[in-house]
Amino acid sequence: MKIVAHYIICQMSEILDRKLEPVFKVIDKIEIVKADKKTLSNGISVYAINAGEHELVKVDIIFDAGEWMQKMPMLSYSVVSMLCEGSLFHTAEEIAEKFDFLGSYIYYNTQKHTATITIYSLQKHLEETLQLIEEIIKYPLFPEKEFETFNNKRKQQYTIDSQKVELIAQKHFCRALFGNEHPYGMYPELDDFDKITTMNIRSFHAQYFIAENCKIIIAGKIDESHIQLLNRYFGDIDWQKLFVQPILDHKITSSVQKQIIVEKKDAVQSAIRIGKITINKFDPDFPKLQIVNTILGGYFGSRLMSNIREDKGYTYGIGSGLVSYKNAGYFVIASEVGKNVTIDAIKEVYLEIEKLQTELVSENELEVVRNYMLGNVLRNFDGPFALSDTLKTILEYDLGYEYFETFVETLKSITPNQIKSIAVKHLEKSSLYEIIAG
Amino acid sequence: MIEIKKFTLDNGLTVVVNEDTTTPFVAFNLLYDVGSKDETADKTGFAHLFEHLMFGGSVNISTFDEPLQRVGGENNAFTNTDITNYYITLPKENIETAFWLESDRMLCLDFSQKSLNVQKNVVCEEYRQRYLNKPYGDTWLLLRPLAYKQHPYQWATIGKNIEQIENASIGDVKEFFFKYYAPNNAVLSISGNITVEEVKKLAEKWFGPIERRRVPYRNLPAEPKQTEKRTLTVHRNVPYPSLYITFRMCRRLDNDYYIIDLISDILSNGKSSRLYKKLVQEKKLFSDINAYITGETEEGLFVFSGNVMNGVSIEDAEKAIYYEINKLKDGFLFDYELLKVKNKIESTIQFSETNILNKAMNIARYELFGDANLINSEFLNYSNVQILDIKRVANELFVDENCCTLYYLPNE
Repeated sequence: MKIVAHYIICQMSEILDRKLEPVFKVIDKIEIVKADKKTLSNGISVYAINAGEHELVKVDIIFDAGEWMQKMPMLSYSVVSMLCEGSLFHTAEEIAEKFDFLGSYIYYNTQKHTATITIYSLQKHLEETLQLIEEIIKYPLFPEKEFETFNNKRKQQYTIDSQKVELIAQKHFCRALFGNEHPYGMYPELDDFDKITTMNIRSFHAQYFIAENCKIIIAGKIDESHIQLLNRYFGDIDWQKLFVQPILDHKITSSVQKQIIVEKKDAVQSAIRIGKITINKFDPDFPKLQIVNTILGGYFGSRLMSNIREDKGYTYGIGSGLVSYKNAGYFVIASEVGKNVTIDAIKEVYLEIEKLQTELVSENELEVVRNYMLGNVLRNFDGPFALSDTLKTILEYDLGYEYFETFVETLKSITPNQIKSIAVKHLEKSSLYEIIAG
Repeated sequence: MIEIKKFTLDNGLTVVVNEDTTTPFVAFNLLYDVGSKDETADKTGFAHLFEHLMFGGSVNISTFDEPLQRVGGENNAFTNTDITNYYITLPKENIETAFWLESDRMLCLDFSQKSLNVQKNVVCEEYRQRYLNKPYGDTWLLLRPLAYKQHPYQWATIGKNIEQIENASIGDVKEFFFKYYAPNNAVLSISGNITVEEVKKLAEKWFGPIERRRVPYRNLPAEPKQTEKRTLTVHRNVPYPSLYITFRMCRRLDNDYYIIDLISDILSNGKSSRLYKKLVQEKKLFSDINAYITGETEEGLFVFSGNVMNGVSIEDAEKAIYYEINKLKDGFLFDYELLKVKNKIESTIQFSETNILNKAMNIARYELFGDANLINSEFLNYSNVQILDIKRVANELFVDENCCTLYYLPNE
């Protein structure tokens, strides 16, 4: 209701001719329910999105405490996951009981630059939920016994995951691009789990899980009273530390070797990763490269899917993607293909890239991709939860909603010639890494 | 609460509609009442392979996906033991494109040999990717034939083996289409920013002219009563043992379904649930453990699945599960705990109602059960469950004559 899309009419038809596409409209302009920016008494920024009709609310509490800040693999994730394992006032068991009794869903996540606690709650239980969240964020105990159990579980899961070819390929791919010392390429080895101690965890928490390092997004059918609730539990100066955070720099050391093959004897498929370090959201070329990526492998009708799955039947799925982080980004093509067609599949991947660099995209294909992507932009703003997820993706870069306006403008104005030159500029074959696991 | 309006076309197509004006989208869901349970033992995996072929072009439209993407739409489909379900979301202004595309492939498929050949390969790769090339990936290929001896739930939807998929012929495809893909064997459900009047007009226009087909009467072989506990031990290239215990349970529409679902929640929904608290956190016997139900239309399975912690014997791990089962059989349960799992169900239902695609899929499934409005009494069905019900059902369900156990062990 609050997101209004304006359309222009494209085509007309009258009688039931099953060969003829019905009249359709192109999304012309997307209006966004923007967040209201508020400030808590201690200076924490709150982005409030008032949307939706249900008595539900989603809160994201975001700390600048991601993998970029950690000194050893898995530290940030260990901290955020261990928050619920016991506080000054309640045991892990009591905390779990309480959240489950309220029917609140709590998720703990680590990204490259942030650590996030996400809460989904019924309106009527929001206050009780937030009260407990305050406690586990400000006064966690990180008990030794619970950490040991948590770590043993993760080691076991890690060993199981290490058998999956797609994870083997992804690990070697990121390491080759960024180097294992860099947060974007850092993957743990089994013995890394034993290096983390509750002391490391406590000191990381003390340094980064503080008011100055925090922002909050709240979304749902909300009003001023919800902001007051947030202020009651998170607005105090009791968790300001007045630290000056060090500026951390990490150097990228890409592998010299561009092709890496990891053998796994009993595998019946190979996992493939082909890609490179590339521009991120700050670069003016980024929206254009996103369109090129979509044409190549970003949707079901993409060239990689049409050729390698729908024409050749080499795979259940193949796709490409752009991953944008704050200080760099990467482009990747990913698939799992039958062992005996691996070489053929890779050949076709390069052929498809080459076609983008040498031939102009047809108007028809461009129209399909343009409208498909416009639909996705509209989806990004459909309802309070999507609105909040979308806001989170731009806050990390301190970008505003203009980012999407620029994106929509680019979608509408991009030409086949521009697509070709972007493909030439950013997807040069000799710059691509190729990892095969299987 | 989901407001539902419905009508039926002369050709038997049932249409259920939920108007939701809070979104600029419409979700369009077409459910066919055919699943892998309708296959014969020598042609398993066919219902799912057929789902792939539905995207290979229809009599008047050469590709399904492209015209949909051109109007900002997204789509996909899934097949399970009971149903085949196709779904689309698209901007409300372009809803007619969904009617055009879906009605044409209900009218008649293209039956292209090339599409069949390619999709056979794609499905074989899907088989390898999801079932053969992952640790513990073949679990369900083992559990189903252990738990069922006569009923077609004995094979997984993906198929018994790759060979049967490779053997599918264009004749099989045609036969299957005209047998099951009929307006009188489908439920169309719509949720989103559209009125029931508009839906009626479009449904009449695009689906109305399709003729009713003769759909075979479903007469599935009944699964005989199990008489003793079954076990199976396999060795695979995995790092740790896993343990799977199944108990045959009631049909989806039986009253006990809700009681059994709550039992699975008491045992394994959330970090405060019994299995996680006792067997993972406290006794450290499993790195991960779950209890859940398959929720199938016919008699389904209650499943325990656990990855045994390094160094723990699988016998000790199994004993600990039975200790928890016996507590329920003894009626060891307090009002607080029952209320907790009911609260969680209330919350889950409320969140699921925020999403039009969820709503469209769910109301179609309930309409197939007999009435889409049943969805609105679900919470009541759960909240009526009492401690004594749990005790009674636990004693009926968790018995050896209902039980199959799979020991999935690392190679020696």
